[in-house]
Amino acid sequence: MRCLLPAVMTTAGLTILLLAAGCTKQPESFEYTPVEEVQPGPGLFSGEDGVFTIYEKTADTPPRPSAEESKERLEAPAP
Amino acid sequence: MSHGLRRYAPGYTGMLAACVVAIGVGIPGKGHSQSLEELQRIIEQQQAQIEAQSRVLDKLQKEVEALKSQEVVEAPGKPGDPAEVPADLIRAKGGDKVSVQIYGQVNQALLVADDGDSTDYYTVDNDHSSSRIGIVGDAKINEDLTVGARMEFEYQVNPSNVVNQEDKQPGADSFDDRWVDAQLTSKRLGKLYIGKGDTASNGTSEVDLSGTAIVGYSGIQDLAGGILFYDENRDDVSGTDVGDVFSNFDGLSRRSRIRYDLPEFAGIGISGSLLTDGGDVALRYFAQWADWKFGAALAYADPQAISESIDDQYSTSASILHSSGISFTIAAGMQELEDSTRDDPMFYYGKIGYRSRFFQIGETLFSVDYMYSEDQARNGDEGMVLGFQMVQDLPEWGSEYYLGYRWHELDREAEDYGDINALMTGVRVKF
Repeated sequence: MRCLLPAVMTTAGLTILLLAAGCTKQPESFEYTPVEEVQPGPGLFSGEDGVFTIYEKTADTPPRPSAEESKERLEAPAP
Repeated sequence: MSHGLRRYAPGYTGMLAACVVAIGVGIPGKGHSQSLEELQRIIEQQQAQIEAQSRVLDKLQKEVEALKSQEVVEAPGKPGDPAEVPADLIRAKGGDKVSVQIYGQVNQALLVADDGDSTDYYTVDNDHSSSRIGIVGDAKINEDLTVGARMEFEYQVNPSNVVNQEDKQPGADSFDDRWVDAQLTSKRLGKLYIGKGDTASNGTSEVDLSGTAIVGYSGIQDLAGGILFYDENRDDVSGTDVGDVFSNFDGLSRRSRIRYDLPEFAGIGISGSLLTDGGDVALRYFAQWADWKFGAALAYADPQAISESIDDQYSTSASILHSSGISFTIAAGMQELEDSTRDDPMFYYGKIGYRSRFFQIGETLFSVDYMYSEDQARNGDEGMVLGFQMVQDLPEWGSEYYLGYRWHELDREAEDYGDINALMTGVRVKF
């Protein structure tokens, strides 16, 4: 553990220094991609996204009324 | 349609009534009077039936109109758009907010290695970031919860960390399940993983913002880890390879585990994982402000599940990148071994990098790095590495071309090993 001390102290020191520096101006976190992982950025075939989105649904759509709701709606008097 | 029938119905009943009246006038008497009443009753019954049918048709028409309006709302978009899938089918497949993506890359290189006696070259899969394919999906359950899954498989032909002078084409291609994992994410409570994937400590020796990690980072063994040191005394290759002398003790790698990440607070992340035996805890910090980007990690691991000879393992790394392109990276780690006769192995690592856009085609990145290791393969071993890395990013082609060089030295008591020089050049193509 003794031989690791300088590196740990350097890391901790740098972190504290930067955290302190961050206090003067609010730091923002960012998404870090580990070095072994597929990095973000465009792909040769997939284009800008870098991934093939084979299925996606993000927009909120009104749910289809249930059978009960449909029946009530049909039986309701016309305006 | 029902309106037409309703318009037609009075005419039809009127005609019937006229016939009945005509019959009644032409055939007087009591019997005729009874027939007239009978006919009137029939007419009234038929009229009631027609009115009932008309009401049913009205309801049906309203239902058809309601269904038509729903189709317009629920299936907008161009031909081929997933939104054309009926809404019920979408929900059945996993919720109103769903995403499924496929990704992958191929990373092939030429490795030339000289062990002080001979020079050999190898066509390899670059183990810094191997060839692989994966699929990842998630579904938002509500405003807080997301359920996800990830499967990623690595397929390597001649891994760069395995090939050596005696085995230039390792027989079996390496097929590895990197991720087979289910994830439950809560904005308030954090993230839970179950399955095979990164342990909490994986990557804690490898935080690196230089951008050249594709061909050089603290994982020294990824470039030419299998190359054997040449024993000058015996005039033959030894049994010690680069990977034996230069490990970066990077946590517990990817394992089958249960992992929990606390919600991130001000860029600080705390996580822990539990393996069948032992586990690990890690602390990470990633932040950027003004011209600076900074990342650091620290971990402790109890590697019982993967080794009986290691009691404890510590790893740490930090990296800082300035907007001018200059970066500094450090890493260090050590193990405490079970065997009391063995000295505890350690390493430390440093890297200086620079990145700039010299050409329109993309960024060019450079770095030099250094590692010192002690007691990793045997007591008293001292290892030293010096390296140079260059990467040309080509975003238009989804590719990176790279060149890396490393000089490896091993000092061992009563032995005389030749230095290993290794050069790697290749391309990573992202799908």
